[in-house]
Amino acid sequence: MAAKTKLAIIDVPPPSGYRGAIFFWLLALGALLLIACTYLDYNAQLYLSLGLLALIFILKFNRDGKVNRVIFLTIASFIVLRYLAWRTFTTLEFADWVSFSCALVLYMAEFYGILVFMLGNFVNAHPVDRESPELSVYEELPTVDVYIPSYNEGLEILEVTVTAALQMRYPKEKLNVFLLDDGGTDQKCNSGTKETMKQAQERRSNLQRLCETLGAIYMTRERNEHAKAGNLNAAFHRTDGDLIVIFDADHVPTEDFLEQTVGYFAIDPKLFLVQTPHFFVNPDPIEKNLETFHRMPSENEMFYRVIQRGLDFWNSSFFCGSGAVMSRTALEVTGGLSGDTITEDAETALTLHSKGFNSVYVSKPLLSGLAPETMGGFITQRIRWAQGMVQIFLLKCPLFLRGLTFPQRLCYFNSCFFWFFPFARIVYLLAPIAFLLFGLKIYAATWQTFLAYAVPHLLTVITVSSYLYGRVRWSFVSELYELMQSVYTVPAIFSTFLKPKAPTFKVTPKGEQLDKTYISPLVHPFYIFTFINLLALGFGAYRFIKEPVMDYPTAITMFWSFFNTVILLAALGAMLERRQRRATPRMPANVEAELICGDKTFDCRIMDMSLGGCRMLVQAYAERAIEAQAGGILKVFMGSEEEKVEWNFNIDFKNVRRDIGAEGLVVGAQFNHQSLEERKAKVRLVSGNSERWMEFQKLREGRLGVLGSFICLLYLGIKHSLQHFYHLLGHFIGVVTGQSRKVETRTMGGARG
Amino acid sequence: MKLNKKITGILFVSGMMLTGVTSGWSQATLGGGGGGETTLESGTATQSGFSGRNEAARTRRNLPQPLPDVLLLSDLNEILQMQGEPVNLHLCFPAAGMQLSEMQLAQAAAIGQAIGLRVGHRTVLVTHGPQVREGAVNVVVGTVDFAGKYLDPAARMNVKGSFLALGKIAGWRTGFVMVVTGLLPGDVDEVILSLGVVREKYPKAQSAMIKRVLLPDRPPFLRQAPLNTDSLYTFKDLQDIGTNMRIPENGGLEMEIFLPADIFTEQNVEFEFKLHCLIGQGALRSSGEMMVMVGDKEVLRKRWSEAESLGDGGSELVFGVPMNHFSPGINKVTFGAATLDSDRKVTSLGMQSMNKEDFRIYSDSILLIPPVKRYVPLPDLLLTGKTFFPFIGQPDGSEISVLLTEETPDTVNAAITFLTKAAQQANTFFYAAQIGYAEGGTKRHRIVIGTRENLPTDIRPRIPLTPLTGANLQGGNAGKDELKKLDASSDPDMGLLTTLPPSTNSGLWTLILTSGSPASLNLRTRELVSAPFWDQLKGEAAAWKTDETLMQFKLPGVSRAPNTMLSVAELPFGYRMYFKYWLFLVVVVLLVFMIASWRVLKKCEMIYNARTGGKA
Repeated sequence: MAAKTKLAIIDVPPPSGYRGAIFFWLLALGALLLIACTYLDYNAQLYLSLGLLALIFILKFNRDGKVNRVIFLTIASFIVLRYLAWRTFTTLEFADWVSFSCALVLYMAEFYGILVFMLGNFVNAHPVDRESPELSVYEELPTVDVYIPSYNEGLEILEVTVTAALQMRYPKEKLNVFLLDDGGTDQKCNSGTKETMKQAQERRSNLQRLCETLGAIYMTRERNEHAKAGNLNAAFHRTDGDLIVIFDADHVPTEDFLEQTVGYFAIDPKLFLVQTPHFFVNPDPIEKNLETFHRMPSENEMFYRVIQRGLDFWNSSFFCGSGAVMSRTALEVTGGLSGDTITEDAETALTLHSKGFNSVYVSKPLLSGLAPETMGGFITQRIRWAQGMVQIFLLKCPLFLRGLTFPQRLCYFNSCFFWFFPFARIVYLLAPIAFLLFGLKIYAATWQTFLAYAVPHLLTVITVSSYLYGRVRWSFVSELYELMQSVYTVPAIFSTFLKPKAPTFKVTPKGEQLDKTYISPLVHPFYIFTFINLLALGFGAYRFIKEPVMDYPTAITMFWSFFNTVILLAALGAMLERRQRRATPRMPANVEAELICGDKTFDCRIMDMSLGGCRMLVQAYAERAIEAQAGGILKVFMGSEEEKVEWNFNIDFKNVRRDIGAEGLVVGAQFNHQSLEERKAKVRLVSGNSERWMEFQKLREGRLGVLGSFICLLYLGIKHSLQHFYHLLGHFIGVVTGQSRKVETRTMGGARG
Repeated sequence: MKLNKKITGILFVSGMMLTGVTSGWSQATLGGGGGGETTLESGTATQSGFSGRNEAARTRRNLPQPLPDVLLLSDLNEILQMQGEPVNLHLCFPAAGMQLSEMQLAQAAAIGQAIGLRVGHRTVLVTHGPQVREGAVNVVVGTVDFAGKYLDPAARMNVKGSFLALGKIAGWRTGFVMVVTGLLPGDVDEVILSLGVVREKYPKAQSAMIKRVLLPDRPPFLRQAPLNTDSLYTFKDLQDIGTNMRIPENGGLEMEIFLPADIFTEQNVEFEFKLHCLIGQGALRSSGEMMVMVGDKEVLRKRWSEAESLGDGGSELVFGVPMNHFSPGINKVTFGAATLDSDRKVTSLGMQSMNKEDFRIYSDSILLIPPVKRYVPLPDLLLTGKTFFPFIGQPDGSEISVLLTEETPDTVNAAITFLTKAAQQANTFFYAAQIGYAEGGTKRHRIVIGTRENLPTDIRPRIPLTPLTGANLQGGNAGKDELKKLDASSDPDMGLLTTLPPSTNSGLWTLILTSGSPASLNLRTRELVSAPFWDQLKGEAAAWKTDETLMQFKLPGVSRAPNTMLSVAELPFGYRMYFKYWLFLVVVVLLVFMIASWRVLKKCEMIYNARTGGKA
């Protein structure tokens, strides 16, 4: 353990003038707030807003300059603060108690949104990219223990993850891979029904055999205490590696994972965490059901490709439960992972940050994982995250936790406070209805003042969002995701508020397959909301015609309600769970290979592949040879010109077709591995290359623009909600005729997320 | 809140004396004349109820006259007119403190208007409080439980329903008390209505019970209805619809004709007056001409010899007065003998004094108004000041909603004073107007009275808080430098009156009376309702303070858009500055914030580089 001596904690004082700079900044912020509270007549405000908007539109085109970014965010913040001041001092009027209560709730929702916006600006003021440091010489390299916690995930999933972990480039003597099985604990093997005991025992023996075969270490414990954190802590106390790497059971690391991460620990002795992004090779249920996976950036990219980089600058990037390297020395200070909340990852990071340790975020995707496939799994996962972060907010209170720096307080506060979005989202959904249906006065403004204050505010928020996240998040996609979660997370958050220690860890089901398309049982609230929204729009139209005195407020609120309806239609579309037969998701590839078919060899290119099979483009004249054979050998060359590695994979042909415009034949094949080595090679080929994941991310990058995003959302909403209703109609017809479709879901195995 | 009455028909006043029943306007007070016609006689106007101006009172109007020992309800108008100019009306609500409930507010507004309509066009300044005040016209309002203490015990026992009493308070040199009371609040409303709508005299008694008040189905103009075009009116007709006529001391006839706001006053159209008159020998001797004045301006004269003799001993003189001499609202028209200067060639503008018996005008004289264009005028303060257009559609004020933005006594006084003036100008009693501290019906014209900071948010941005400067600015008699001093936005004590057009196609207008504080609002309103200020009103907005010669107006004109750079930014804690300076301040603060942010970023970058060995 030579490296241990290097991990001694050294206190580095902040540079001189740091506290003064923070104090000065707070003073300037106070002045900004004060001057933002000035009342202007709407003409003056309109001119001011137009001028400032023009400035930020110009600045928007230069995203790289640091100074430019500061100016941009300052001006944008000022516009938003002006709106907040106006909203606070002039738009809350007492008409009657019901209206005033609703107005106050809407105001609070907006206040929340603006606070999160301001905190977001702070967090993302200076996102950083890192160049990974080179690894030390062999003798100085720390020993690494890889923990793969498992609870109920299938053997196939675990085999891939363990195999990939063992294939990470690192000296074998300094790398141990532990499969931490919570599904085969003594408690599980010796208690419960006969059947569950048998299942646990079988699982334990199967996994022991798997580990033995692959060269990993199987580890279980006596009792299932404290869920995932307990499992990891149990292993922590029984192992002694300098560094601990944690992978969820479905998170398959690339070969260069340790090369890209371990080097940081040699530079910073106070480093406790190197976190990497979670890259998903399958679409989440919304992407899957709206068919956007291959053209729209994934939902989590905003967090992993922008926000975590922003947090990293403030030394606040936090542990996300998997794909991270942690320092044993640091964890020993806290006695392992914290377990007061169900998001042990963020909680541990918060605790260690407060003890003066540092974190690093590497933005390169170094693992591939699985997103939950069904809406149920997705909601379960999000409820856990929301409850966990609210628990941290209540139990740890980052704003006042001793030991954190001022930026860290703001960053953690932002990370926790963000999870109150469900309340705001529901309010935004219901507020226009309150006006259109019930005529409640919830927003006292004229169209002139609305034009002068609210419109610039909205444009600013959209522009800033596009400026900060536009590459990885299309406009209004957040609204869709948040709305879909909100309906179910509101009660969960509320219950957490009442009993902060009550929530328990719930495993996110993953690797599910859906044999048939069906409507998610979670859809009912969305039917109600859509119906009420459409009703409100109808009422609004009536009001618009019959009450010309209220035409502007009605028109504005109708537009708002229309926007909500578009989001709701997209949500309904996403609630139609589409059939998913493929167990392992295919990802695009561009790998040169040779196809040996009988005694003939053909050049080919792998177009996409998964752990189950691949699709190749083969020379056209190979058709006869392929049709004559049931299978062949796929010879793949990897590595550089100097150091070329050759892998041979046995494959079975599944289909052959000649696509119009294609250069040759498109051949679908299934891997038919004959040996362990071949299986290992397949894992390296399919999941071992981080460059491939980066290329895929780049493929989906692209700004669609605000209008483009809205039109896209409108299109998706109409198209998929129509399919939803068509399916619903079919279901009813089936019920009437006695040929009801049966909904079948089959779980291949679950993994924790 | 409005007076809780929906009654039609006739007034019954019973009790001490009155048993008569009358409806509509007061009966002709003209003397007898030939052919069943009556002639107007001097002094008869004092009997004409509502707006009759007692000549003696007129000459002494600036000082209150000593009141008779016994005050009779039948002399109410005369008693009121014996008060000085302005009339200090004090509303006493024994049941309230200084703050009035919405019901009391509505009652106060109605009483203010009722008294205002009974004192002609004299300025009425209103105050209120829980006690009576010496020297003022005190109206004690409330149910007998509270107001009864101002009645003698015997009268108090008589209160079985609505009750009105008049009296003096021992020890007072000036001022008197009128008690408006009843068993229930509804009874009090009844009395107030009677004060506002009844044009018949009350009984010759110090107190009276009032059974009930009935109003016609269609709300009438309760003092004087505007004249219609393409119509022929005899002078008797004019009296019947409330036109005030009187014979001045120096003879002739003075009348006030009330023209609607939407009349188009064209030059080539004439109002034709056919005067059936009796010209005495004295008149012919003393002067050879008769003249017509509109307002204080002579517009026409004719020789007596041009009069056509009628068979009944009278003569007919026809005057065609070009219409452009008239304006919407009340127009004073005077007929009389013209004076000649010493060489008898050039006439002076004054009326010649002569014996009233020498010049009589019969009530069958005619005013012929030809058909002229009616149009929807663009409302401005000139029109509003004269006719209260466009806020009066229905004469009962049922299209108005009055909002007081605060409940302070000063604001309430200002509001009632203003509404009293409005009723006087509109010549009617707004008994169906809504008045309250919260927004009323959305389908009514709005009158908003209150301090600037409490104005509704939809209004605040629309009122010209910006200085009334630029090409569209006009001052009373002041130079431009003086106008700059009177910047409505920078001087919170300035009063501001403005009309706002409908923001939608509802056609509903808004009138705003505002100032910086309740106290200054009350003070400015008391100034505004006086003739020197009120008569100047014009344009879209008016601002004033203390000196009527420095009154300024925003007129629709070349540059309607306000100069934004000169608008005022209201900072927290009551500070104010011009927008252009505020803009400069914003730039400075933004720069400071950017520099501060940049410093924090640089410091954190140093920390980042120190711990990573790299460069952020």
